[in-house]
Amino acid sequence: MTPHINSDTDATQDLPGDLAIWIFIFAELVVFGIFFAAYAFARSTHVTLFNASQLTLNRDNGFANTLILVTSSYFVVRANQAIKAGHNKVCGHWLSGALGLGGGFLLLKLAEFHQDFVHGINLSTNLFYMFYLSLTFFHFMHVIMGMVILAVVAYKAYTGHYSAEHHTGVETGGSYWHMVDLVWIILFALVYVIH
Amino acid sequence: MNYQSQRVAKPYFIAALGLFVGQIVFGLIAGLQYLNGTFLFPALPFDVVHMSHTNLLIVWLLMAFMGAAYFIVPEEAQTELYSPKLALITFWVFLAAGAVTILSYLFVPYTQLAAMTGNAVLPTMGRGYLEQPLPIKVGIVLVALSLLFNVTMTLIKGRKTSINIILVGSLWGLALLFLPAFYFPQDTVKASFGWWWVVHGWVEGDWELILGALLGFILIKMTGVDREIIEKWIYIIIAMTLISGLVGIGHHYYYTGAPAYWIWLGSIFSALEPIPFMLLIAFSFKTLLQRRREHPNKAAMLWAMGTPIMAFLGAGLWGFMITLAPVQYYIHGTQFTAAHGHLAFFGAYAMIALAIISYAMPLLRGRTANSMVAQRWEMTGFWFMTLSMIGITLALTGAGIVTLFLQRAAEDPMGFMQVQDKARVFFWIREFFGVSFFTGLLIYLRSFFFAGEYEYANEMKQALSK
Amino acid sequence: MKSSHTVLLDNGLKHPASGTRRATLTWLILLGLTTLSFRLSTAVSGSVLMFTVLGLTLIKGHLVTNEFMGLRHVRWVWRLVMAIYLLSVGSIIAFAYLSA
Ligand code: HEM
Ligand code: HEM
Ligand SMILES: [Fe+2]
Repeated sequence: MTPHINSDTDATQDLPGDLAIWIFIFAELVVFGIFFAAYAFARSTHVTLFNASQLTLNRDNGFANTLILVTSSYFVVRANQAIKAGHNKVCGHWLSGALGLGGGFLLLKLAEFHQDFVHGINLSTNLFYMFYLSLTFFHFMHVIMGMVILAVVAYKAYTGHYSAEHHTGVETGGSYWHMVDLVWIILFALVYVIH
Repeated sequence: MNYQSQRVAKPYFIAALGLFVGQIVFGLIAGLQYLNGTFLFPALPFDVVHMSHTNLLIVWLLMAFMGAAYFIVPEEAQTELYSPKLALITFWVFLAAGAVTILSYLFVPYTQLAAMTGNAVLPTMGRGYLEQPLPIKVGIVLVALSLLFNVTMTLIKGRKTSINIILVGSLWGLALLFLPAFYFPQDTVKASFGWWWVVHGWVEGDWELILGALLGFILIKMTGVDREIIEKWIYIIIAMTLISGLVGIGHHYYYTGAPAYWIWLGSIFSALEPIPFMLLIAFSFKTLLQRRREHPNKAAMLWAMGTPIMAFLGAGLWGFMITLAPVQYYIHGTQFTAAHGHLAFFGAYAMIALAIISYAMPLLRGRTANSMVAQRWEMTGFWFMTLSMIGITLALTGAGIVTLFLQRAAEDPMGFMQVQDKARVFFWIREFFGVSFFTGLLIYLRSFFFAGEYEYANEMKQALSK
Repeated sequence: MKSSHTVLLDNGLKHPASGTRRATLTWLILLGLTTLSFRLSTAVSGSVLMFTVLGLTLIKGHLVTNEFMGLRHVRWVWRLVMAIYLLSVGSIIAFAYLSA
């Protein structure tokens, strides 16, 4: 086996990006995990209500949004690879792409929220909608937060702050964004698909 | 101490400790009244004693926070305070307002006080912790504005560190969150919203940021660990505090007339409120382990390390035990709540106040650290007070459990006063630990009356000869 | 399998193209699995749906954390922590659905 030349590919290395963001990521995962568990247990005592209400969701929208977030995550991976090869501009472009997709996600989700609003659906409508609205809104806020971080990273990439050797910021921002994606993947399955 | 103007912190700290003594004396009297209902009656009824105990608590904590701000902001900004004179005037105004408030509680019947101070015009009096008459509440706002003006101007003209921005920002938050105290509608549901926005907003939101900033400052100074690392932790802790605490306010909305979804949202998010306290423990101990120097002020370090642990126990653990809706259904407003209130307030806020005082006072008196004799007294006080508070907490928890089984969850619920009788032994235990707490406080205060500084050479010799 | 794995691992930087190919493949699999879950939601129901979609979701979660977040390059403890997280969320959900 060839000796490890680059520490980035060493299987014993530390987490990519800042350790602090990982502590935050795990804390956030716990938060969402508890929320998901509460949903699942609340459903177990209101199965018919949940099933009936779930049918009214715009599943196409949820599906499209999953594809969007997964793709944006992929773009972020490409941005990371670009900066590791020392291409600041390319990295910036991939991040801008991811930001554009994030914006698309927000628009689609807003359209969904708007539909709910038009139909007079709110937190008090029933237990399912309470969970559906609060879970997706909570995630919505995380998408915004992730986009703010990505925007800062993209700006820094364009202005040449990073290099092949020093790019912790890209990894840090990217890791958070992947977490936002990961949580949505579970949320999509739980709230939109499984019934 | 690097800037002359930091000196204004000293009267704030001294006054804070004086008011702390007052708070505990009232606590002991209230505890005695639990055992003998007519003790000091009618001169000093329980409600007045209770109100004085809790208001003094808030006032001394605010005094300490203000002192901390006047001490830290110039140091971090690397410039003199914008106006030391204004800070000093503000101190006397605040102290006078505090004294007038307590004296008026003691000597004027509360309803009469309300009538005299325009409560009919803008009703604000009566809710716990916010009992102050209207003019005093307005005074508190003015004092806060003066503080904010002073520290913000200092921040603007000096270095802008994260610690400073968080500290000044959270002081703004503290002032803004006091404003719902002026909102006291007839509707009891809305009135309780306004009350919790202040109380919960402070202790489970804004004050946690102050706690983070103060602890971060102390640890930067005492361990020599990179500011950058410490600041990152503080940001994460703040983020988790806000994520859990904002919606977590729902744990006060159950069964109050607020929308039913709060039962879920309040339970889920407040169940997460222990997380920032756990992170606080992880952060402080990780920083301690990475320390690059041994600071001679061991006592300050003890307070600083004790704070996250006790805060976690009081807020995180005891808070969690009563926070889920099905539990609240049975335990709301029992002595369990008082147990949690005591350990959380002491562990988080009294201890961080004593930590910053412990770090800053020697410096304000021209020493790096107190002599080892003084520090030994201080640390003895630490253990006395901390262990006694745990005793008080356990006693009240016991009383809460008695209420739970004999009244709240009983087939055939007992009357309120009968239950109080059954829990009497716990009230005795509480009073016992109250006295021992007070002893600890006196031991602690004794530590201020030793002359002399920490002497490296001397301590070294002693350590080697052992 | 083992050897191709290490080649990819070791050459992440020296041959960026292979890292890119791996990421692209992961992305396409994720799109595929998402589509599959979506289609299944109308095709089947009940615990069959629950178990398959939950399984697919865990695989997706594993791909995102291991490939995109790069956990496969780091110390095994972190992979373990993440695996425990995904598995516990998955089993809590499964348990709650079965107990309905
Ligand atoms: C730093 C130390 C202390 C803190 C932070 C503190 C805090 C508090 C708080 C927040 C309350 C209101 C609780 C509620 O309404 O749920 C309270 C009430 C009370 N405290 Fe303390 N306290 C302290 C020390 C003491 C001590 C040493 C005693 C002595 C026995 C004491 C006795 C009482 C009593 C009797 C009440 C009234 C409880 C009631 O309303 O039934 N406290 N205290
Ligand atoms: C340092 C932070 C905290 C302090 C100083 C604090 C203090 C208090 C006090 C004094 C009360 C009684 C209010 C009253 O009715 O007079 C209270 C109530 C309550 N606290 Fe905290 N608390 C803190 C953090 C927490 C946390 C983190 C949780 C949840 C995990 C929590 C859960 C509760 C609940 C559920 C109540 C209502 C109890 C009832 O209705 O009887 N608290 N808190
Ligand atoms: Fe609260």
